[in-house]
Amino acid sequence: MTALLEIKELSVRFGATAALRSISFNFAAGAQLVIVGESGSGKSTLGLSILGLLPRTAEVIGKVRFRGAELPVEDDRAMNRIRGDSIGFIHQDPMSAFSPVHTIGTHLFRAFRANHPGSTRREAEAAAIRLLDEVQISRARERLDHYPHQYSGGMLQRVMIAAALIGNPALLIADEPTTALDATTQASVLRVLANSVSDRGMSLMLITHDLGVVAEVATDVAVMYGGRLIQYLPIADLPAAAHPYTQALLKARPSFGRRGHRLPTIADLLPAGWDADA
Amino acid sequence: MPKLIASRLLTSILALLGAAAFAFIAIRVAPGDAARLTLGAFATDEAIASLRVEMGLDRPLPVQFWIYLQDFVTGDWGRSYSLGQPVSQLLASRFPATLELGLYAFAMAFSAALAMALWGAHRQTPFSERLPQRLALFALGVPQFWFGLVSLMIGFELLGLFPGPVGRLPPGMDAPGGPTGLFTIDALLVGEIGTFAAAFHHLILPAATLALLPFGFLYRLLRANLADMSDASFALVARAHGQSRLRVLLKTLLPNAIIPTLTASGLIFGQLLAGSVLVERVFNWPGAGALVTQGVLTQDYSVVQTFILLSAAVYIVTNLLVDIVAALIDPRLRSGGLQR
Repeated sequence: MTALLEIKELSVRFGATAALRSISFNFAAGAQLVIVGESGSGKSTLGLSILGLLPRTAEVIGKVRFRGAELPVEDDRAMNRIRGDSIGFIHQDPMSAFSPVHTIGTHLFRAFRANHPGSTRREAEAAAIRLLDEVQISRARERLDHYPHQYSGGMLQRVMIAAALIGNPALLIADEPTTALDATTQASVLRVLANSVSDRGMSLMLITHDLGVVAEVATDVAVMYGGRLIQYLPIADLPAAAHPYTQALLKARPSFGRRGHRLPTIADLLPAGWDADA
Repeated sequence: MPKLIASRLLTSILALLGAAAFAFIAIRVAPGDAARLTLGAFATDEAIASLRVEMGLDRPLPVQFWIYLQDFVTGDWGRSYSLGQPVSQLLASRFPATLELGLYAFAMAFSAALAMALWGAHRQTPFSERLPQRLALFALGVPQFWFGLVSLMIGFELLGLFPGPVGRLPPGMDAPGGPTGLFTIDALLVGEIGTFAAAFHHLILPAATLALLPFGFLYRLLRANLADMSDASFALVARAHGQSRLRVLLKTLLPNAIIPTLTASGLIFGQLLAGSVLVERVFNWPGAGALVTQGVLTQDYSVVQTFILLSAAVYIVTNLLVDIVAALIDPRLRSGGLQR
């Protein structure tokens, strides 16, 4: 398989803080990569740096190649043609990801038109309805005229998936798409996402701190800690993963089987055997 | 939406009644007797008593208030006892002058604030941030009458680019006969381009002077709201869909950020109508400001009451319109209150 995304020595700094420290990995087309790590490990920064949407204060060093060509992250116009078109994005908080003064239809039409210049409103509307059907929003035509505050969180997250799919991207970056939702809604949103991704043969980069999500969708797992990528491996190898931090993460996961005792925690310092400068 | 308009209309009427009562009471508790002030210190007691009867001052206050309301609604606004002219006639020439000045000043302030705030938010360079900030600070700090005088010294005396403080039109030019009393609009309506140009030329300096303060205020408000909004997740998501920065700024951020500015605009426009006395004085603008100041000093009840009520009416109608526009932009305002 050819690499869809090649990341070479990518570092991001916000002033004195290093958010990403020399990350490198290749991401094969059709792979479903789950990136796990604690809050502050640099997962979201990684997603945004691929899209070229980091705040202006960020200093970025390193290269990101997409489909064999370097991403023109400095050229905002060129990136506008890639965002939505080739790389889709799903934000973690559906409640704040929609402009409260615009209808759901307006959001979808604008997303469609950004990727289909010169298209008519009729085409945008047809695409929006088709996608809302795909993410299982019933009465789609009627609901286009509704505003975000008339939707539930789970519905909004499904609309966000629809909006990200509207440009038919080859890669979808989902930044903790289920964190803001309750457990039952999480499952249904994740199912919708997984179905759309596999139906379209898209590649998925799912950022999460929930290891339960990993098993459901992943083909590969990347583990991040303190701005570094400490492991990148196929899902099948995860249980036997050698890295002590990965082991600790796995152990810190609650499960129904082992009730009644405390979950192990991960100390502030890295577990023994991990060389911070490696 | 109809519910919102109905409830706003109802509160508007109550507010208007309140303004009427305030105008009525305020001028009556002020020291002095209107009849004596009108006739002067040497009038006989009989003459004053008969004028009091003629003015209706001998009747009980509630009756006077009722007559005042009735007369206001039917357009009988009484006479100015100090100037000897019907109030409607006095205000018909003065109020449009103030209104026209206020409209131009407001248009200047709002469009400059909008342009500068958008420029700063889009460019985000030190220059595009600092220049409008400094301008706004200057606009908020400088006394209006001083700026008016300096602008006359530079624009009129030194450079000769603008007319001097001669009022709304050059001496010798007739007012365009039109229905509104706003010279620029009337001139266009009757097709007198020369009169339009002259009226517009005379408006520039006084309107710019009057626009300073509201410009500074509106710019700061809008810029702060835009800055708040640009951190919003929906801006990031819109960018991730491939929309350009400018497009997201104009189509997504601006509608979200502008509502507080619109609300403030309604209040400011009302203030421009009432608070332009100093600017009118500097530019010899034949507006209502001087008339009303004089009216207050001579206890000219009819003039002051009518002006207060008229200003209140304009103020209330403006704010009603602002509420409707805000509700058209933000669906959450339509049911009358903010949800969630």
